[in-house]
Amino acid sequence: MGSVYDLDRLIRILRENLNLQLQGYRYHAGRVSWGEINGIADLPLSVEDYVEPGLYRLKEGYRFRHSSVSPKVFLLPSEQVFLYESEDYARVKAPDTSEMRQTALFGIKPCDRRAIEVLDNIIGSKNPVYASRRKSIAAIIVEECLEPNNNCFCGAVGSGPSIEGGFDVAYARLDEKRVFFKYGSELGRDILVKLDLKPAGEREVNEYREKIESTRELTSRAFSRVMREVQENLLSKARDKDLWLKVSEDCVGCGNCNFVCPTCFCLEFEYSINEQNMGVKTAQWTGCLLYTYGQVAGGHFRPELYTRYRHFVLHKFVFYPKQIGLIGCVGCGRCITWCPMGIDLRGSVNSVAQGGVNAGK
Amino acid sequence: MLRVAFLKLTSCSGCLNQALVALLASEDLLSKYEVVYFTELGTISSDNYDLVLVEGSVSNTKQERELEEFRARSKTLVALGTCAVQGGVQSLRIGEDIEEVKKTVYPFPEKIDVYSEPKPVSDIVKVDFFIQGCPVKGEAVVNLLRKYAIGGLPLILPESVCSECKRKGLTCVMVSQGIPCMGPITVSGCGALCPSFQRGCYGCYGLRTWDINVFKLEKFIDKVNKLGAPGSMIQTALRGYGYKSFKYVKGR
Ligand code: SF4
Ligand code: SF4
Ligand code: SF4
Ligand code: SF4
Ligand code: SF4
Repeated sequence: MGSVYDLDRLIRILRENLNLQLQGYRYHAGRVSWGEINGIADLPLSVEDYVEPGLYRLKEGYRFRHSSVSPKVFLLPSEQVFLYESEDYARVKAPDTSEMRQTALFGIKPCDRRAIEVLDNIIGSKNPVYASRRKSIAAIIVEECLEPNNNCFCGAVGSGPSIEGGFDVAYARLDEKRVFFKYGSELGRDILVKLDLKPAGEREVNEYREKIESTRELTSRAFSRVMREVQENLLSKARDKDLWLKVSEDCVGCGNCNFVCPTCFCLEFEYSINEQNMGVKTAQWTGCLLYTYGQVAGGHFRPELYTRYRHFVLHKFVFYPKQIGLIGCVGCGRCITWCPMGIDLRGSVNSVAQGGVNAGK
Repeated sequence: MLRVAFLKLTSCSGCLNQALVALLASEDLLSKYEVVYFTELGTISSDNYDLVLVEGSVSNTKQERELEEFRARSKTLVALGTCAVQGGVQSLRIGEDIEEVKKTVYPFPEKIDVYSEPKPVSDIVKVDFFIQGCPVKGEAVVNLLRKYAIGGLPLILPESVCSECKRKGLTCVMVSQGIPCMGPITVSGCGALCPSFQRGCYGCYGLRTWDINVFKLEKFIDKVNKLGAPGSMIQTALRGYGYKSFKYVKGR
């Protein structure tokens, strides 16, 4: 058991004793973005996100869950230079990716941790930028959730609100002051030993468990059917054009859902020529909701927007499981929050899974 | 040397100035291009051109003939900027009495020979490539000139302004502050300029006509109006920056 000040000590141990740079949710000037954490003042400890579909407000409080960024911002940057080549292809040079500082991810959520697992399985070593950044992660510190926001549904996809593996230290804030710590690895144990906290009493352990369970309950209600049935129904309705047109009727194809999704990984390449007449091949984030997604030389295989929205939903719930054995949606709700049209993925899934357009809305 | 002509129709010169400055600032391009025609400099050359960059929309039949002439004498013709591509701010007059409009703006309205609906360049001649923007970004023109010099053209990636917002790590002003923003339905290319200054986009790069039909447009307008956008904001912006789209909205 500890307090928020022990988070500061934890940061110091990671930085000074383990010589790691810390990356995580950084509070600065009224917003929470992704960046380097140098001390407790950088953490979003005194703010709380209030969300609805298509709405986000950062308020005073102590339960920060999400902003529009995720660990993807660090692992798969929005712009990655892949190649420089001369006109005759003689001088080809890839940017150096070996120089990554050893890093600890700090304060990511259980759903974020699952999202990294998804990305690991999808991308792994295929992308040198991702691979070198992933390799640089030497420690993972997770903040478990004792109260979800309105759009969180980790319980429904089994990615949160607690974490059982794949981390070093996890902490949960029982209230504004008190913090409950646990470890998930040898390294984590060593770190907690160094922190030298007093053991949690039975009352505190129970309080932690109750809050985790109530969060699990609240985040498990998103779907009206069990996941297997949801998946079967989604697939069997894949060709019901009218249904998908209806479900996607508010969508304008802006792509915000893709960009904020911690598991969306699609990149597109852009070639430019610099002053030295070198060709520069740059990868940048794209997503299936954008028009360019289905554009290929000589044509377009998904010109109609509803087919791209359908792909988004089916990919997360049906195709990722076929690709990597994990549901691609980690239930973070970011796509719901940051959709300017306020489209609710949960509602879309329910509408299709129940087979009636108005069902589940 | 490649022969390039800068042709100006009805417009503010912003795009051509961006293009000229970008060209003059890039040494590598100066050794590859020769500017043989520039409307505002008055240089008249009746030769053939490799590349013609056209700024502005078409306002009368004289401009139509001029455009056709340049098309006939050029290998490649590029529409530069929202006016040339979609009609631009001149489209604000569509639906008004043209004689009234002339009187409001000019001291000698009888000297003004324009028809009531400005036309995008592609209504008159075949366009090989276009760059949107009001004005276009110099970088986009440089990118075009560099690629054209080695025998190609850039790829058009018609995405939303939101794409640029998110890639830059900006926090959405609409979702997080309730500021009306037209980014979701507007073509990318500006680098999310307005949202980076905590302002909503007003759509100067033009409507994303690829995904946005009248039905989607109405859904979006409803949404933005609910945020308290001044009633006329979207209509005005669409009339000014989305000539083609205005044709959809007009019938409402
Ligand atoms: S954020 Fe919303 S409107 Fe934009 S593409 Fe995604 S679902 Fe459609
Ligand atoms: S699909 Fe939506 S809820 Fe699921 S992981 Fe992506 S952003 Fe989160
Ligand atoms: S989705 Fe679950 S794990 Fe993620 S922030 Fe919300 S409550 Fe926490
Ligand atoms: S601020 Fe505007 S352009 Fe940026 S993401 Fe939000 S709606 Fe899109
Ligand atoms: S954000 Fe919108 S209004 Fe502002 S420069 Fe870009 S396209 Fe134009």
